[in-house]
Amino acid sequence: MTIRHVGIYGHGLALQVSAALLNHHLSDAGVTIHTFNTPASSTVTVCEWDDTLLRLCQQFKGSPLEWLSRCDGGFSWGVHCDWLADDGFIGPALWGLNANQQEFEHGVLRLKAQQPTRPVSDFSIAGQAARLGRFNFASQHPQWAESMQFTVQCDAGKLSDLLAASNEANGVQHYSVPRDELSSLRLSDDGKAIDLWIHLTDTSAPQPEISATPLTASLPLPVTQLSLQEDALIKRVWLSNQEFCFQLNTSPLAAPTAEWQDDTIVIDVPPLTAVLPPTSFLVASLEQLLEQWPAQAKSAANAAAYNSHMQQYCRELNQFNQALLPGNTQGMPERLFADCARLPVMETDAVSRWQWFCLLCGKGVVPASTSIALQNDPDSTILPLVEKVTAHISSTARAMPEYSAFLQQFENAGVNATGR
Amino acid sequence: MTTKRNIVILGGGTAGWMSAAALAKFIPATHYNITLIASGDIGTVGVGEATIPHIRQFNELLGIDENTFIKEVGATYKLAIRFKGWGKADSDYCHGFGYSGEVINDVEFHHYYLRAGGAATLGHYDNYNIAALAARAHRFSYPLNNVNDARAHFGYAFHIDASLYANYLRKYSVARGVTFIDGQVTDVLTHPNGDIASLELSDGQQLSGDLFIDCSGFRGRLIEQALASGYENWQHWLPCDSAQAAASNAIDNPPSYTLSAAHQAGWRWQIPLQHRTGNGIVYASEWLSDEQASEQLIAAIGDSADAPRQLRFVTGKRKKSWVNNCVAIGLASGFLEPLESTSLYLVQAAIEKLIEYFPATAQSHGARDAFNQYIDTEYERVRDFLIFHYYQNQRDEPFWRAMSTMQLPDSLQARIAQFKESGHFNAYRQGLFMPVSWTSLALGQALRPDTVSQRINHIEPGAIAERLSRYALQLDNLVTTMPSHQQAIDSTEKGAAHYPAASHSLYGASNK
Repeated sequence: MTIRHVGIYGHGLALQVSAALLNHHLSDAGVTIHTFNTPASSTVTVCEWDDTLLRLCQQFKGSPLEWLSRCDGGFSWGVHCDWLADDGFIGPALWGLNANQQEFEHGVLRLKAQQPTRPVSDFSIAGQAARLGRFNFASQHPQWAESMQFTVQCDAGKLSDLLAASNEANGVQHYSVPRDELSSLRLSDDGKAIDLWIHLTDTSAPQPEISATPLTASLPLPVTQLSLQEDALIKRVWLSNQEFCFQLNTSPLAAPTAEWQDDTIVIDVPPLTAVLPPTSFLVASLEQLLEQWPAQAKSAANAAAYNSHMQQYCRELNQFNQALLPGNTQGMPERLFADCARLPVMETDAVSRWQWFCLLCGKGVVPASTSIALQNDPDSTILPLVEKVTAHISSTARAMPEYSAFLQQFENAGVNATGR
Repeated sequence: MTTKRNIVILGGGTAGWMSAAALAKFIPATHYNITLIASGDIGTVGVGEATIPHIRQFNELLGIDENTFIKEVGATYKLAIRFKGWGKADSDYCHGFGYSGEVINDVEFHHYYLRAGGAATLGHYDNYNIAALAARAHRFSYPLNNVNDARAHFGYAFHIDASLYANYLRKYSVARGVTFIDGQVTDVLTHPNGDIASLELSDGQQLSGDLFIDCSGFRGRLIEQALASGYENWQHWLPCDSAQAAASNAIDNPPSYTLSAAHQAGWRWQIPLQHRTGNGIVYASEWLSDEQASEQLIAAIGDSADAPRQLRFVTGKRKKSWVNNCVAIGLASGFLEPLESTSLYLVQAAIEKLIEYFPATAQSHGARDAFNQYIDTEYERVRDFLIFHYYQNQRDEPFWRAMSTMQLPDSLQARIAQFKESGHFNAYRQGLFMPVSWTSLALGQALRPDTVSQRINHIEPGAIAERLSRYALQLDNLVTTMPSHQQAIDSTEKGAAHYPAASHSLYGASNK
């Protein structure tokens, strides 16, 4: 039976993001999206995104600037982890200025071998800007876009409301339902029409925020902060107007999953995680579904292929989360990096290689060797080149506005864009 | 003063000299000595070799001028592999080094092709792959550097004389400091921890080393005979165990494809070189005798052929390609029949990964484990693709009937089931063949999915057919503007060819 009606059962931002994404890609094919909104249990009011939010905004023909401005959007170059060595910075941005500088990271590691106290944040625009408290978009330097990658955090409720309005305008059918089991909903009149279900859960929601402070006393930072306590991570996130503080359980760190069984895909996404934004997982799991879009809901082989892909995604994500916290067994990435400063081939985009490099350097792993291809060149040739690029990175970061000034400009631009 | 480490390569075939050349290029001579041992008494497989586009990348990394390479190894160009008799006895399709059609609104081209009626309405799927079309027309030109032009979206490779390539790389390597020793290994001496300490040669010489690279071929003189890696036998999936090879005269305006023609118990290849044509027959000895194979090969290639040379093999791979301080590359690491011209690719992949993970010490367990995992994945994914050729057939001969009912590896079973159900193959990131290749094979061998993407249900089949027919005509016209393959070779011989940079993909620049 052809899929004509997709039901998404869940709440909050995950529900609206899923509806918007599926509706955008499937409405032309005659598929109607129905959202079944259950009462929210999560009290997490902040959401984090990588650049998928900007991509989604463009897909939905929205203005990223306007959306973020209306949702108190803040920006972050990455995460600062207080238990890691050097400055504990982990960011998604490329080291060096652009991807053409092949093996730049190996030059960096050779430099670090001589100057162990040099933090890894020295070697990326994002890292230096994070340390200096500065921010800007790469729009004036598109060639450096990869080295200026950032994450976005904003008010989840406001973004959810925005998307809900957009979804309604675009033909998504909305229903409010009590927190029933999905099984009883399936039997209802509305539920019976559904061919394929997306069941969104957040079984590993973090503790509610332990504080939310207006930004009056302190300046916002363009970097999220994580501090390790006995059994928890304390996460501090800055939106444009408030600082939030959350407690994340570390045993184990919350991890998302996605599984397709029969006519239902269950996607479990915690609202907040340590380093890797959960929304990236949500979008990846939906994009994979779209890529494999089935002719009928019960597609055993297609479902198995989907599950296999998403399990791999989760494995790579969990491998990183395990390496993040002290005391865990060394996985393949850590062992390979320790031998030769390389990473194994990853099958998904769960974690960027730069996040791995930052983490492993931050853990104090010193590779036994670096690129053999660069060993023809002595340190006297390589290290000055690395310093030259680093100086360029430094001047680029210093030329950016202070983060608070940037936010003010951003807010003003948003006001203009929205006409408020 | 730093003591130099010694790298010893055993074997003087293509794998050995490719390894020597790459190491000589990338490993600092100030820190390493590289020695290659080979014996003139031990023959190499050395048949005409069909390659895939990655060979260009390898040559580019080594700084080898492509025009010089073509002259030195008697190469011709290659745009596709043409499969005749695979699937059905009368089927004929190409696996071209290019994309078929375009991805439109995030939906793969073949969904549109099938929704519009497939071959019955639109003709052969090859009509949408410019590399396949040019190959069938015996034409060749370099891909253009304009992504908006259909002539930009393909890659190319070569047919080469593997022995000449090995000789060329030998000169290259020796000129870069590789020491060549003509000798035969009589004994392998090991340290108490199992590492190889040295090789004893027939003239009494002892050659010690820190890292040994076993390119000794099927026998695996170091990896198997000395270190007992173990072998995973895959003959239950790929039962061909014999081949015969013979050269015949060169072909005027040769095809720009490798021919793979299925017969009652295997397949026959034709690889056109400038100076001769390489031919061979691959077969399962349980279903076809050596004599029958020989007769069949001679009948196909005519009297101009040399007497066929007999080869035997066991399809599979070493359980571990890197054991202690020994890395096996090429046939010493594993054997997969060259149905998709993957032999040199697998050599290249191993060399590049070894250089990438080059060990600081013999105790680099992380690098070793990661390398072995990488090689396992590469071999297993190529293996699955090869098995798919055999499994997906509707031929009547006993061999083929047995192939179509075999118990598949789980990984392949899952892929085929997914395609049957949805018309989609999931992509993987590590591995040679992307969904575009899997789809070419599936459609070429008449595996039609139960359905196609529902995301294009709203588009009328007639409208799709009209658009695709226009596209096919456009490709056809573009191919007629390409020079003949012979003209392209002649132009290269005159040194007038300005070749493009190598692509990192089997399919050239993406049209996505």
